[in-house]
Amino acid sequence: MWLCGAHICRAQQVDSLSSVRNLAEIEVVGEAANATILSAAPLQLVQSDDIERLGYVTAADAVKRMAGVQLQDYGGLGGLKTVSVRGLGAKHTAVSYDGVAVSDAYSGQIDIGRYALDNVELLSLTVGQGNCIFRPARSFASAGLLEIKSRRPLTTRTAVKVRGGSFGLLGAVLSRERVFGRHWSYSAHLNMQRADGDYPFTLVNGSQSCRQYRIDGDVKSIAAEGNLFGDFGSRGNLQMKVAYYDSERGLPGSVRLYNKENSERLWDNNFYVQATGEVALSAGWQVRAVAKYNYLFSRYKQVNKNYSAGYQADANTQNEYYASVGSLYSPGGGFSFSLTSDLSFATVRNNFLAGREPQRINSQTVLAASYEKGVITATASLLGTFLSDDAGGSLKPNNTKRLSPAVSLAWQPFESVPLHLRASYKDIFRTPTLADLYYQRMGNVGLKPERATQYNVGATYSSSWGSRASVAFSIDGYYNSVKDKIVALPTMYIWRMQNYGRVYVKGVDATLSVTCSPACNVELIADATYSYSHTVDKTNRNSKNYGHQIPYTPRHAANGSFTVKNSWVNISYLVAFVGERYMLPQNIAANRLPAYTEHTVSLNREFALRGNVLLRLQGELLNFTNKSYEIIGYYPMPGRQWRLTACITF
Amino acid sequence: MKKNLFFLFAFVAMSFVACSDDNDDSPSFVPPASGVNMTELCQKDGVLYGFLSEYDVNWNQTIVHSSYNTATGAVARHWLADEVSSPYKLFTAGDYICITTSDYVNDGDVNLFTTDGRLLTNFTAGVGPRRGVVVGNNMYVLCEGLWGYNNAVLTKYNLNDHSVVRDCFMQQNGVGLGDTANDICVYGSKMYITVATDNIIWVTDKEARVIEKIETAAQPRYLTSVGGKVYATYYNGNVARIDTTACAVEATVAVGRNPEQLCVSDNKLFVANSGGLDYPNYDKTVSVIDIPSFTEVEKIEVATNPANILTADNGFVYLVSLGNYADVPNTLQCINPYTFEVTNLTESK
Repeated sequence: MWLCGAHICRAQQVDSLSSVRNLAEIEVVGEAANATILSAAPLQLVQSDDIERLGYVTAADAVKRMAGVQLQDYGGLGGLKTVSVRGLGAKHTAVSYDGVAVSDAYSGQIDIGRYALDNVELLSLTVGQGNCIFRPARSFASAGLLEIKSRRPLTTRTAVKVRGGSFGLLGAVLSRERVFGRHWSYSAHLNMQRADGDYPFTLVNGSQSCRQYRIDGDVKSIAAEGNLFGDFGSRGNLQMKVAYYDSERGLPGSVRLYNKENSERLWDNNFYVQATGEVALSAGWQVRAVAKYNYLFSRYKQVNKNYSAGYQADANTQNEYYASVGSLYSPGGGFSFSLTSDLSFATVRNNFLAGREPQRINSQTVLAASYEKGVITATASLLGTFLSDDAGGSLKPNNTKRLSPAVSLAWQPFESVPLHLRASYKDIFRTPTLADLYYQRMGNVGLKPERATQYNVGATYSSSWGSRASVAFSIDGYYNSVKDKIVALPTMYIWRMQNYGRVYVKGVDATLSVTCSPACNVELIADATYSYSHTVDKTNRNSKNYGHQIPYTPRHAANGSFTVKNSWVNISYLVAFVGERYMLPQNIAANRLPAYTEHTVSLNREFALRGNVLLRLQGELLNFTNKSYEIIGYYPMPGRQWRLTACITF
Repeated sequence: MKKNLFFLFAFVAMSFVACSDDNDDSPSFVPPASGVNMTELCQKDGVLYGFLSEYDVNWNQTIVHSSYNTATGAVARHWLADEVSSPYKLFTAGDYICITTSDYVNDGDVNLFTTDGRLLTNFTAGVGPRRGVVVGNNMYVLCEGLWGYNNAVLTKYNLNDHSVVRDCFMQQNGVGLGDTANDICVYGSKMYITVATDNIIWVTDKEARVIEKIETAAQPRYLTSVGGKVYATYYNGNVARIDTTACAVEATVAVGRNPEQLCVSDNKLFVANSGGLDYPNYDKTVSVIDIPSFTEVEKIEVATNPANILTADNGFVYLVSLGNYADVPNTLQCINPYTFEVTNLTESK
C-alpha cells in the first residue's frame, strides 16, 4: 500500500485496484489532496513534497502545524514530543507506521519526535472515523489517528544524506532502494544522529532574567529499517518490515530557579518485525492479514544522593505479539462491508511493578460498512473490544468489554459546486495503561477506561483553474467530551491513579491552501490553519479550576506557510502562533504561559550532476527571531537554530 | 456510614484515659489501639492535634481532627476537618490551629480555628500551604508549590485587616522562592525557609526581605531552633547546624536515611529517619543527637517510616510513623527523652 489508506479505499470503490496503482506520482499527489476534501471526517495530509519544501525533519515538525493539534514538546532534539488532538489528551491519538499501529501497553506514550521523515512519503492525521473502512481494528480504536507511510521504491536508487546544525546536531541517512523483477522491491534505511542539545535560553525569575544553557540535553540514536514489497497488481500485495531503534539521551528536567543539578538519563531500545499481505479473491472480495512482533526496552537512571544507593534505576521490558485479519466485500452499488479482527498479547517486566509481570490480551473486532455513490459518502462502524489483564496474585483488574460506534457522512449538495458538507460522530475510549494499573503504590487496578465522544460538522471547498491556480478550504466545528479521565490524584502523601474528571471541548478548525503559477517555473503555495478550542474542566463545581481552560490548551492557535518555488532556489517561510495557555489547571496569572509566534525560513535547491546523480541542498533557519518560549512550563524551547542538509541521490 | 464506622475506631484509638500518675513528669498510657492513623501532628498548650483517618486498601479516607492532652490524657474530638474539604496540613501558629487545604495543583486555603474548634476565618494562600508562622500582626504561610513548577510562595495574611499578599517574598525581593518549599521557622529576629529541590535555605528578616541565601549541599527539609542555632534535616541523611549570626552552615552530622522532621528535648535533637525513598525498605529509626557535641548518640528503633515528630510541653517526644501506605498503617508513638523508651499510642495491624 503506497497511498494513504483513506485514499486507496476510496479509489478502490471508484476505480479498479490496478488502475490506481498505475497512476503516475504527480497524479497521486493530486488524488491524495483530493482525499482531504472528500473525507467525511477531518483529514490533514503532509506529503513528501511538503516535507522537502518546508524542511521538516521529524513527524513532530509536521504534525505541530496541523489544525486542532497540540504538540507537547519538552524541548530540544531529545525532548519527548507527544501529540494530542482537540483537547483529548495524547493517549487518545494512535500512531500507525506503514499501516500497523505503534503501541506501548505500559506507558501508552508514543514519542513522535522519533519518526524521521527522510524516507516518508505521506503523513496523515484523521480526527474521528475516516472514509476508509478496510484497515486493522486498532486503527478504529482511537479518537485521532496519525498515519506515517514510508516511501515505496519506484526505481533503483541510493541516497546519502548528511545533516548538521546548531547545538551539536550531526546526522547521516543512508538509503538504498531497489526494484527487482516485475513484482518485487526492497528498501533499506539507516539513520544516525546525535546532538549536544546545550542550547541557550533565558530564565526569567521575577524581575531578574539570566542567560543559561540547557544541561544534559544530549541525544544519540540509530534507526535501521528494511522493507520488502511485493506488488502483484490486482491480485494483491505484500509488505514486510524489520526495524531496529536504539537511543541514549539525557533528560534535562524542568529548569529550576536556583539549582541546575539534574542527572537523569534514558536508554531506549526497540526491535520489531511486521508483515502485511492483501489478496484480492475476486473482483469484490479482498482479504488482509497483518502480523507484528514488537520488543521494547527502556532504562531510566537518576543519580541522586537522596537515594541510599546513590541512584534510582528503572528498567522496563515489553514484548508484544499482534495479528489482524480482515476482509472487504464490495458487492457493487456503492456498498462495501468489512470485518476485521485483531488480537494482541503484551507482557511487561518492570522493577517498579512490585514484583508483578502483567500481561494484557486485547481482542478488537470491527464491523464496518460504507456507501459511496454520486454525491454521498457514508460510513458506519462498530468496534467491539475485549481486554483482559492478568497480573497474577490477588489483583484482578476489571476486564474491559465495550462497543464503540462511529458514523460519518459527506455530501456534495450541488453537483456543479465543489462544496462538500460533512458530519461525523465517534464514541471511543482509551484503556488504562499497565503503568496506570500496576505501578507500585500509585497504580490502581480499579480503573475504568477513559471515554471520549466526538461530534464534528464541517464543510470543504476546492476549486482549480487548470494548472494555473487552485484553492482548497475546510472548516469544521466540533464538540468533544471526555469522561472518567484517568489522572494521578493525591491521597494522603501518595499520588494514585483515579478516574476523575470531565472535560468538554468546543472548537473550530479551519484550513486554507492556495497554489498558483504566475509564470513558467514559478509556483506559489500558501497554507494556513486556524484553531479555536474552548476546552474546559467540568469535574467538580467546588474546585477552583471548574470551568477553566485545561492546561496547555490554547484558545487560539494558527499556522501559516508560504513557498516560492522557482528554478533558482525554493524558499519557504513558516510561522506558528500559539495563544496564551496555562501550565496548571487554575487559570490565574501565576500559571499563565504567554502567547508566542515562531518564524522559520527554509531554502532548498536541487542540482543535476552527471548522469542521473542529483544533489539536493537544504537549509533552515528555525525560530529566526530568537523568540524565547516554552510549550511545557519550565522546559524552555531552543532559540535561533540553523540546519543544513546535503543529499546525493544516484 | 463510613464515618460512623470510623467514629468507633477513633473513639477506641484515642481513649488514652488519664491514669493517676505516680510520676508527675511522665504521662501514662492505656494499651494502644489498632487500625487508626494520626497524621500532621502539632501541639498547642500541651494538647496534641492531628488528622485521624481510617485507612483501608481502597484508599478511601475519612478524616477528623482530634486532640490529646499530654498532661491530663484527656481526649477531645473535633470534627473540624469536616468543614474543610481536601484537608492537607495542620499546624499551630499564634493563637490558632490551622488546617490547610490542597488538591496539589490549585491554590489551597488556610482555615483558622480557635482551640475550641471554632472556624474564625479563611483565606487563599497558594499551591500546597504547608506551614505558617505568626509574626506580629501577620501570619506568613509557606506554600510548597508543585514540583517542577517553581511556584513555591510565601503568602502574608494580616490578622487585623484580613488582607492577603500572595507571594510576598516576590514582592519584597523581586525573585521567586523556588521549587518545593518545605518548612519555615522564626528564630530571633529572622525567618528561615527551606526550599528543597533548589537546595536553598533563605534567611530573611521579619518582613521577608532576604538577608542571606544559604546554598546547601543537599535538599533541606525541616527546621528547628535552639541555643542560637537553627538545625535543618538534609534529605540525603544529614542534619546541618546553622549559625544564626553568620547565617551559614557550620557543621553537619550524619543521621539515618531521608530524615524528615526533628525536635529538641533535654538538650538533644530527635530526628525522624523515614527512608522514604527506599520503598519498600523504609527506615525505622529516630536519631538522637547530643547538641553540645553535635554527634549522634543513639538510634532508637521506632515504627516504620517515621515522619512527624515534636516535643510536647511535658518534654516527651511524640512521633508519627507513616507505615508503608499498604499493609503497615501508621503509628503514633511517644519517646521518653531520658530513657529513650518508646511507647505505642496506636498500633500497626
